[in-house]
Amino acid sequence: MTRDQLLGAYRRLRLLREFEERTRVEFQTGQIAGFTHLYAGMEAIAVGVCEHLTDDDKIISTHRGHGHCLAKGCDPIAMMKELWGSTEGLCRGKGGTMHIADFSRGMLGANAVVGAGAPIAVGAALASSIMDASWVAVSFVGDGGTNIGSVYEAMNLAVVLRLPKIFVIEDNGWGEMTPIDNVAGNRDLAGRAAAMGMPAVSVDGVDFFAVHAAAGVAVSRARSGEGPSTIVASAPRFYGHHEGDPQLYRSREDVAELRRREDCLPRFIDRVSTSGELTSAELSVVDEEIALLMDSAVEQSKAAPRPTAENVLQDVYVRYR
Amino acid sequence: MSTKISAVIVPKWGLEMTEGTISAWLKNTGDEVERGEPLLEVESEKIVNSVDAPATGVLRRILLEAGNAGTVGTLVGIIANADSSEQDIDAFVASFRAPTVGEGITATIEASAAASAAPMFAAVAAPRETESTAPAAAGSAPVRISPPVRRLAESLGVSLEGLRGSGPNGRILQEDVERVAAERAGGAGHAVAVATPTMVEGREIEQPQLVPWNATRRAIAKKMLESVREIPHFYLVMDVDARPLQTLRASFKTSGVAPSINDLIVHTTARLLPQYPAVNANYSESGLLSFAHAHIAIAVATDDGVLAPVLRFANRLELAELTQMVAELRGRVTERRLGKGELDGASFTISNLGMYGVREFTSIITAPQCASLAVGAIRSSGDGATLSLTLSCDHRAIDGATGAAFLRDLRNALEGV
Amino acid sequence: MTIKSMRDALNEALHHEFARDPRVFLIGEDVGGFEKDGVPVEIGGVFGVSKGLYRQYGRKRVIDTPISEAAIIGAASGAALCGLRPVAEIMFADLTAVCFDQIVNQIAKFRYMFGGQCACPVVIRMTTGGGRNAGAQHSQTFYPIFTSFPGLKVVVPSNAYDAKGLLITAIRDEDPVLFFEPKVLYTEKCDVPDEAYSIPFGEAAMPREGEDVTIVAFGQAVNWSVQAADELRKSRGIRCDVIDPRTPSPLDEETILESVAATGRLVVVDESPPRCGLTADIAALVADKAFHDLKAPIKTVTAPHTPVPQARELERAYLPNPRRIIAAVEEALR
Repeated sequence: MTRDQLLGAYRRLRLLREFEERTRVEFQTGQIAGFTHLYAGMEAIAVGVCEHLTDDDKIISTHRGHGHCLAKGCDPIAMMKELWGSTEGLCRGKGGTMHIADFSRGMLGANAVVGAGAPIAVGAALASSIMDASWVAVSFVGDGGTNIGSVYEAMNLAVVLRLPKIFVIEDNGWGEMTPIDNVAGNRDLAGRAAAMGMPAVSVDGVDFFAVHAAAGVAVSRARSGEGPSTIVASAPRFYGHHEGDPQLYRSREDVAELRRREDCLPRFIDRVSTSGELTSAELSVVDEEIALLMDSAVEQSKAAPRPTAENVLQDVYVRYR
Repeated sequence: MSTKISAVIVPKWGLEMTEGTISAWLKNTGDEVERGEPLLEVESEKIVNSVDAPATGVLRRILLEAGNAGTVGTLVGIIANADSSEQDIDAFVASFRAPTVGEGITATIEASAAASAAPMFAAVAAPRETESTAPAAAGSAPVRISPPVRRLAESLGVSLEGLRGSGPNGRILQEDVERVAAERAGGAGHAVAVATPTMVEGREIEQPQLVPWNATRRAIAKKMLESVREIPHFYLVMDVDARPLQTLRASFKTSGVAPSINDLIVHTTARLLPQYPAVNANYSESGLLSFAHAHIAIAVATDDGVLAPVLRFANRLELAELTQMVAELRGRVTERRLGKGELDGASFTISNLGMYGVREFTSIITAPQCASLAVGAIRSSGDGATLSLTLSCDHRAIDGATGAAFLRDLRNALEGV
Repeated sequence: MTIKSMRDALNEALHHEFARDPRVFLIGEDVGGFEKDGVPVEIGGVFGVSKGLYRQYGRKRVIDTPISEAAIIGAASGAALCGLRPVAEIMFADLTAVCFDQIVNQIAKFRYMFGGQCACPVVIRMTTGGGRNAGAQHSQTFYPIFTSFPGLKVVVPSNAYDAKGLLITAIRDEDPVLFFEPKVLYTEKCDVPDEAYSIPFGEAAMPREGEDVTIVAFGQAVNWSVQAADELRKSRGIRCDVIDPRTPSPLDEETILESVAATGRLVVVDESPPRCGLTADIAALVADKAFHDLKAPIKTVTAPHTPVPQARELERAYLPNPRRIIAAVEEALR
């Protein structure tokens, strides 16, 4: 990766982290309606994969979708406004945190039904194949989602039709509040995907570069028409399943330990500083920019126009009658 | 609460009615009225009948008192709810235009004898709009056309202007639209809507003139249809030796009031009926409504259809009294002076077409009665004279054996007078 | 015009749209065919509706899938989000239960959730209804269920002519359309134009016109209702408006209400069981918006509250029929 690319990657990693941290703070004031599921701790996966993607490539995410949205290039201010429920939000306040989408960036939506995104993303890949286009489609699913049928249907169909599709499994060890060990008959998640007939690798999801490398292989395989593949990336989530989750299943000490040992940002900084590819000054500038951006995002969201009752009736159909 | 002001007007019954006289208001100003409830009585040349309230509300104004006449369409009263102010009502009255009668299309209001359905045309039925509105002019009352047929007309470029369809009340049907479109195929300019062809293969065809059903006809039609649909009829025919009846009748001719053959039959039947509770009854879903006495509806022909006023407790009447009462009933029917309820509550009906020479006929039972007797003409041959009786029975209440036994006993009684 | 079966009419619609729009493709089980030793073997659909398409357009546009309803519908929806015009086939409406999430939580909601950013112009075709003794899991209607979901359009043709025009409209429609083909009507024939034509959604057909009673019916119940109406007219002089809404969603309320305003009596007929179905929906609509026009209680004719039985006599007893419709009309006239 070039210096510019590295800086860009860092920027996105930092953006994802600060967005989630700030969301967490704002959420606790009660201004954000509904649930929110924070991606903090898993940034390297989203950024590592999306660095290979353009606006034409399509992704579908999960309920824990802020990270993928930002990594794919969605405007953080419009995203924050969406969390706030404003009509200037990416989805005009109609989707909220769990349904953020930006079709102009190929982000086909965060999806709140576990496993539902996989077949839809296969469809996006199918469209690319039918149209002889060059885009690829990526679906993200958690370790908990590897136990739902539609994911395997999607994998099988992608293999059978040899589609430009990448399945990314983000293994954070928890399916909501239950450890993956209790619910996965075969803990080898990559092995399950491989059994469906495609190459599948496991990588350290805290290591941006490991993810980036694996994703590069998968994307170029897809682009060259060789069919789908799966990447299983393991990384912790620093916060609960959702904000408000009392996390009865792990102790504060465990979490603190995770943040010390398994944080992708210090690892990235470490690596690029050691190699001299980026200076700490450059990184600080990025940090400051992101911090200001977050302040601005929140400020603008608070002042952004609110929806009215008429908005309820809009966009159900393109044209009903 | 929306202000809703409804007009009460002099109705048009029959093609020829031009004015009506209010014989009585059945409600006073300030009274609550229910839509469909009889509100006032109006007399025309032909009939006296009541006008139903066109809306639910309060009778706020009476603008034409009893005893006065008004042309058809004249505003005679106002129904509104309590919310309507006097000024609103004044404004309504001031701007009221009587509906004008268009060519061939007549706005009618059903009398209480008929079902309480709202009239088909927009003219003066209770307005559904929530603002106070004057009733639409009857001349512009639209004929009915269903949305799919209207869409078809649009897609075929058929203009509906002035088009009268072949459906009831001029309803425009799909076949009408298709026919007009086919006729106009190749033609340019605006449509000349023709409801029925005037020429077929060079020969002129007469266009029938629409004579709308009046309220009485509609009521009769509805009742007849109901009877035919709901009552499982069966019919028993019996010939009766008419000579004893003729002899008896002849014996009265000298003294005052002479009963007719029909009066004799009514009298005899009345005495027999209480012995046959299944025949002398009304039908209900839960059971037979049994009468101890005979209340016989006597069918009388009028211009507007058959009316059958009820001769009550006919089994208790002596022949002379019965004869007189029947004559009196007939008279009041002809003069259109039947009171309310005189057509109700019969346990049996007798109709006679003998005066026309009809040999025998079957009558349609008037619900909720269970049976009906049709009397034919006396036919002579040689020394003998016979008349036919046809008993119509509701098979839900009466079996063949019961009906047959009644008819046999009736014949025996008539022959043994 | 020639006499064609509904199956052939639907096939023609597909051929018209395939030729007209290169974005249209077919996806489902056994819809296309495969190559055997370099020679194409066409299946053309288990009911033959997609005959000829695989041979003409190949595997790129006529896609056979594994038995994976969730993947089939998910893939169709994803492709639609990316600008294509998929026609997805689910062999029996009953099987939409397997991919229910993809239809009601995903397809139905994309446009709305995403604030109008996208459209999902997918058509999902299914066979529906009883009459073929296919048993409880292959004879249900399912169109009432999907009618209740905002974001979907629901179409139920009752004859070959309507089927072709409605399918063409469905494929051209920008919104998701669930297209229910009563399997027992595949062989029913009528005059069907050779050229392409589209029938707008939200416009009812009215195969019979009359003044006495309004009958509203769906799918194969339309034919039963027409038979009943003809018998009533002939033997009792009772004349009925028979209304076939054709599209439960969007529903042509105007035609139904106009008719009830004229007749005052309503009978609603459908082969679905009675609870929470189209018969209840339309009865509620009329009770709300035309209460004062009614002269009698609204009557419904439905299947009983049971699954669909398989034996001939049982299924015959289960399904509505003209006799029961006649009885309901007479009830309404009481």
